[in-house]
Amino acid sequence: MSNEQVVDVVVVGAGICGSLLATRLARAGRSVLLLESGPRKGRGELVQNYRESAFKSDYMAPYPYSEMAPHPRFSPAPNDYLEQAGPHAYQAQYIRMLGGTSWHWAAQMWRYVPNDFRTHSLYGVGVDWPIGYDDLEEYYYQVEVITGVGGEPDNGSPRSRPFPMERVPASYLQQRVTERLAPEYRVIDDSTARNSRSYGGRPACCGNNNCMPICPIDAQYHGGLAAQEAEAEGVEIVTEAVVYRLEHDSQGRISAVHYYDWDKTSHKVTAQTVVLAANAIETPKLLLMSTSDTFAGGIANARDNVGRNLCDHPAISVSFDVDEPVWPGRGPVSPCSIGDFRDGDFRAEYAPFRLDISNGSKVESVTKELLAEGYHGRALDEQVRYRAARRLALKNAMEQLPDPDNRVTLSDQRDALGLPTPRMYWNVGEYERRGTQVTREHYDLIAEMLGATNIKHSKEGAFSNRQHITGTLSMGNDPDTSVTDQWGRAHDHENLFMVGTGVMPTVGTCNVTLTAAALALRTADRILEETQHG
Amino acid sequence: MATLSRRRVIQLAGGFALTGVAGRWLTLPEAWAEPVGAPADELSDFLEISRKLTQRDELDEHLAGALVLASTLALEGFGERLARLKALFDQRPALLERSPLAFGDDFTDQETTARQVLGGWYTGVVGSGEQAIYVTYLNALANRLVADKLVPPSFSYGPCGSWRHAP
Repeated sequence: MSNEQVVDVVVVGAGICGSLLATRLARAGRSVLLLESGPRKGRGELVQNYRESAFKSDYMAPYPYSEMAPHPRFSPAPNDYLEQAGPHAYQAQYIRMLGGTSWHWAAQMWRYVPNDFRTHSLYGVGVDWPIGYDDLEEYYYQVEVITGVGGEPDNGSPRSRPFPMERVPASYLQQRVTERLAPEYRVIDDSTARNSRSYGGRPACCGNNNCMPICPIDAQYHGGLAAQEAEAEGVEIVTEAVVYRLEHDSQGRISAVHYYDWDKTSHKVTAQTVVLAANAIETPKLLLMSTSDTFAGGIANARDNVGRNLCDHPAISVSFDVDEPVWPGRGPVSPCSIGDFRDGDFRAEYAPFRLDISNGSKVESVTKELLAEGYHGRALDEQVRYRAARRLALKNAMEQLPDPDNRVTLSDQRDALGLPTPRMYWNVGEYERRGTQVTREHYDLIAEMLGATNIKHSKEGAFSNRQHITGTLSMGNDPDTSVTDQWGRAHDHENLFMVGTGVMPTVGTCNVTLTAAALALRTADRILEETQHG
Repeated sequence: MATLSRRRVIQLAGGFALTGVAGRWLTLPEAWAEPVGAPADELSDFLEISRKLTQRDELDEHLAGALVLASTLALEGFGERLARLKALFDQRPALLERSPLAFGDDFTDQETTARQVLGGWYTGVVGSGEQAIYVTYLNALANRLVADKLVPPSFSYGPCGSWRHAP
């Protein structure tokens, strides 16, 4: 194989966004090369890995790991791939593998609410997007059709057409919680790319209750399927291809992409258009690594904005035992939520949020809890059943305002290929802390309404991240405060585009994949429009 | 003390999944390549202790064998610690009447061993961190305990929507 290749478009990163974009470009006749740093693995192998894993609660554990394309790893011991430099550890869980991180997700495909795009204008906080809800509505729907999304239509996000998928029937747990919390709280079906009937050549959900870390039957959409479709459309995919440098010409156009294979042989790709889709941490890393005399701080970083404004959903959780058996573990793991606090004038004062209700099996966690408490014999058996039947867990998805100090930079460490690893700084501000306090009050009220005992809140003052990594490649109209324009194009590099959650300037109160994928298709159409005579 | 023969180890582990050692998959042939130094009566002791801790007369002997093998690999000095625990139970059977387990400051090692034995049976995993070994999933007692209501995650519950009804 030649070490030099010429294509119309090279896409870096074969996750759901890069793959959907690549498919659209290939379908329009472009020659597309899709580079993926990680390996190619099949679903069967991943399921087997899960079932034989000693660390079943670690969603990363079933996925392949290589020092050649490292990612954060937590079992059997943390690999500290992400150097933590801030007051709160940012424990991202992303997968470097063909298909990317949406291999392990709950297929949550939420639209933002319209006001999420204008928080600065409406509430005086955060930033406004350079586009609005109406600019994305058509693309939201396109992705919903590709991935097969269903859910509650009346969820704050207006729709011009119905969901393409009928909702997955509510579990007994969801029905009971919905009934008992009404009318104070409105529990609704989540928007998910989960089949309730055969769709896209995939079967309906049959309640394996293992959406995370891996659906064994592909009843939910994921990036592996998107990559498969890209390949079927003629996209050339090269795995184990670690891009390490972007080269530019005198006009600032990206003239070449350089990657190492896992033997550290270097390869060069030239393309009319370059698209970075390597996630909201790895893409900034690549940009910061690509320094030159002209761009001493890295590509797209002339104003020191790359990697800044890292946002996620800083979360707190609660678990308790309901006063009746509801048996979590039947049906999808994350089927419903409370969306009453996603928008309103209060956003001027404190962070909005959504409350996710877990339906994941609690057998393993309550068993470990009881063993730690010293239970044995028949009492242990009785308590496993008692708690596994009643344990309910909630977690919030709370909007974090963009803060330039929260950022991805390069650490002093090097991986096996000699490339720098990411350094994270993540803090949580007063706005989010006030939202946290309100969340906590609702947790207590919900627990009371469900007759809860054994109530356990997450540690006071601690926040977990929800793996909704946004902001590090923020789009905006002003190059002084953003990295990309409304199309995901780097302000200073005409033929360089970025897709993925990093281009989203705010994180809203929902899972971010649908918005990122919609933006990716919008970017694809823009590329096609600009290059149709090229 | 006699050691478990290779044939006996194969017999013990037969029917159970391979032992995955933290971060890599350790095949049984790889495990068997090393001499197994477990005492011949270790399985018998393990079963006796397990019956007391679980208050179950019926425990799967094949799974017990696999748990002994895994514990020997994952837990330092497991054989000796198991013997000390057995001796304690023989001398002070009333300890098992306490719930939760609390053997007192003089017997913390034995209490740890007791919890490890229980952990193997109920979770199907022995050891922790780098030393963790997966032994079984479907046959873990915790999964069997709820088998009339749930299937272990990753296995099919039933047709779409079959979870609507009270279990």
